[in-house]
Amino acid sequence: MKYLEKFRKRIANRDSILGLIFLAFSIILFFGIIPWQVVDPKVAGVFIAPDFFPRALAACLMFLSALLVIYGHATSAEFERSADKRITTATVVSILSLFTAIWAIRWIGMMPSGFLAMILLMRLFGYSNWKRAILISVGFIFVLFLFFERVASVDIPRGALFDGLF
Amino acid sequence: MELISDMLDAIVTYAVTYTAHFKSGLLLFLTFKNVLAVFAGVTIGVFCGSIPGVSITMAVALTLPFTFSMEPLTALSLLMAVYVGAIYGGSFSAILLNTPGTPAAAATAIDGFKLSQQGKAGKALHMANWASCVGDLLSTIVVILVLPLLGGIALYFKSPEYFALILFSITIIGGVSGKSMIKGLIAGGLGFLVATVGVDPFVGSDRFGFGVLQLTAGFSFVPLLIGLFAIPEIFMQLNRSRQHQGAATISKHIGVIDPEDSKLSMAEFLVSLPHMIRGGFVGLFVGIIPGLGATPAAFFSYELARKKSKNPETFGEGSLEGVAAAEAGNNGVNGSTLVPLLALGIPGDVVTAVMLGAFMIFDLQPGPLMFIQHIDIIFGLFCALLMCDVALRLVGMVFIKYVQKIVTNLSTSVIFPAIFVLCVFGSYSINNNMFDVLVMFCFGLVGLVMTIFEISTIPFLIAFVLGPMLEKGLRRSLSISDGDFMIFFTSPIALGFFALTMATVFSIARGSAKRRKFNSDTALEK
Repeated sequence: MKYLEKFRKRIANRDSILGLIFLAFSIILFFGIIPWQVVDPKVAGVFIAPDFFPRALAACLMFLSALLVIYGHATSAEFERSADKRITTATVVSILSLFTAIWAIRWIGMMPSGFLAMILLMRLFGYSNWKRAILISVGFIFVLFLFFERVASVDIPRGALFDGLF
Repeated sequence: MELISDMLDAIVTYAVTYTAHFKSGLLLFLTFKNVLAVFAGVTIGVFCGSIPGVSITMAVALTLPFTFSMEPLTALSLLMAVYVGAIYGGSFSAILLNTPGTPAAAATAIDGFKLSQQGKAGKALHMANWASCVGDLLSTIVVILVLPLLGGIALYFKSPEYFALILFSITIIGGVSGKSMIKGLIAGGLGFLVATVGVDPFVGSDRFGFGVLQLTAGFSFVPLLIGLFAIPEIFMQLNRSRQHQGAATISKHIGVIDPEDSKLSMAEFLVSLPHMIRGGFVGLFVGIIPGLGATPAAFFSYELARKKSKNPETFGEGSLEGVAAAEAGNNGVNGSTLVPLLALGIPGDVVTAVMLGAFMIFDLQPGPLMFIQHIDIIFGLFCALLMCDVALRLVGMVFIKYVQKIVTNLSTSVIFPAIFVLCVFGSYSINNNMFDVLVMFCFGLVGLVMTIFEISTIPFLIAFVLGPMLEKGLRRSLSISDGDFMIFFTSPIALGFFALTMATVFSIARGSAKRRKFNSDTALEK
C-alpha cells in the first residue's frame, strides 16, 4: 500500500496525467485504429507493409508515454506555466465563434465570414470603436479579395447563398 | 613531375575557360533591365514571403506570366530573385509574429520571436538579413566555382544514402525538444504519424482515411504549418490583451525598448559569423540533393550551431546565433538548388519545377547540353544570384526599418484578427479547397493544446516533413535490394551518416542527463 500511495503521489501531476492520456491513445491506436484504418493489400515484392511505420510509431509512443508517466513529476517541476498559456472563457468563446465563422463560409462565402471573424476577434481583443473596426475590416477584406482573386487568380468561395450572384 | 605538370595545365585551362565564361555571363547580365528585374524580384519575394499563407511557389508562379515578354536571362533572373527574396521574407513574420511566412522560417521563429518578445526585434531582423546574405553568397560562390563537379554529387545519392541522411536529420528533434526530451520525442512521433495519413506511396492503399475523400491526399503542409504556429499565438495574444484590460501594441507588451536593441553590433555579427558560414555550407549541401529543400537545411544548420555554440543554453530562449544559423541554412539552399536543375535537368523541388517550366518556355533545355549551347546564360544567371545578395541587403534594410515599426506599433486588436483572416484566405488558396482551412484551424487547436502543455511544436513539424522521406528511403531501398538490409551497409556514404546519427544521439542523451543532474543538484541546494 505504501508503494501504491507513493506511486499515486508521483503520477498526480500534469505531465504524468498527460502521459496516461498518450498511453491510452497509443494503445487504442495500435490495437484498434491501425487494424481498422490501415489496409494491407499483401502485394508481392513489398517488403515493408503499409502498417509497419504506423505500428512502429504507436509502439514508440507507448514507450515514451510510459516514460512520461514515470518521469512526469520531474518535467512538470522544471517550468511554470505562464498566465497567457491558459484556457480562459475568452479562449473558448473565440474558438467556438471562429469555428462557426469557418463553417459559415460554405453558406455566406469567405468575405462575409472573414469580416465577421475579424470584427469578433477585434472586439475580443478589446477594440472599442465599432465604426473604425467595421471600416478596417471591410478595407482589409477588400484588399485580400483583390490580391487573392485578381492577382493570384484564386476563386474565393461566394457561399451557397450568394453563388452565381457575383 | 609530368603528372603534376599535366594537373597544373588542366587547372590553368579550367580557370582560364571558366573566367572567360564568367566574363561573358557578366557582360550579358549587366544591363539596366536585368538589374531592375533582380531588385523588383527580391522586393516581390520578400513581400510575399513575409505573408503567412502566400507560399514561395505561389510567389514564383504568380510572377511567371509577367516574364513571357522578357528576354530569357531577364525572366530567369526575376524568377530567381523572387525565390531568394521569398526565402528571406519568411523571417519577418516568424520573428515579429511567431508565424513563419514560409516553412523554412519555422527554425528562425524558435529564437527570433523570443528575441522580439525581449524588445530585440530589430536586432533579430538585422541578423536574419545578414545571415541570409552570407549564406546565399557563400553557396552561390561555391556553386559558380564547382558546378560541373557538384552535379555529380547528386548522382551518388541513391535511396540508401537518402535514408541514412534523413535518419541523421531526424536527430535534430532531440535538439529542438525544449526542456522535456520525452515530450519532444512524443511530438515528433505524433508528427510522423500525422504524415502517414493518406494513400500509401508504394501500394496505393488507404491509411487513416476514415472514409473522408480529402484525407486520401494527406494533410497539406502549409495549412498545417500556419495552424500550428499562428493560431496558438493569436489565442495567447488574446489572453495577454485581456490581462492588460484592453488593446495594446506589441511594443507596449514588450515595454521600453533600448535603442541599442534595435541594431546589430559588430561583436554580435562576428560571434554569429561562423554559424552563418557553416549554415551556408549546410544549405549548399542540402540544396544539391533533389527533394530536400530549405526547411531541413534550416533545422540542420540550427542544430549544428547549437552544438558548436559557447552558449547552447540560450538556444530556444532568444539566441542571435540561432537566428543566424537558421537563416543562413535556409538561404544557403538558393544557389545549390539550381545544381540538379542546371547540371542534370532534374528539378529538386516545386519551385525549381516552375523554373524548369520557365526554361522550356524560352526553349532552353537544362542539363549537360546547356553547358555547351548556353553557357553564357548559365553564368549570367549566376551573376544575377550574386546581385540578389546586394538586393537582399538593401531591400531588407528598407523592410526592416518600416515593417518593424508598423507591426510593433499597430494595435494587437487589429493585427492578430487580420492575421487570422489572412491565414484563412492563405490556407484556402493553396489548393482552392475549404478542407485546408479546416486543417489549418484543427491543427491550430492541436498547437494550442501543445503550447498549454508545454510540448514543443517544432519536433512535430520536423517529423511531419522528414517522416515521409524516411519511409520512402527505407522502402525504396528494400525494394531495390529485394528485402536485403545489407544495402544500407554496403554504401560508405550511408555508413558515414549512420555513424553521425549514433554520435548525435549519444551526445544528446549525455547532454540531457547532464542537464537533469544539474537541475536536481540545483534543487537540492535550494
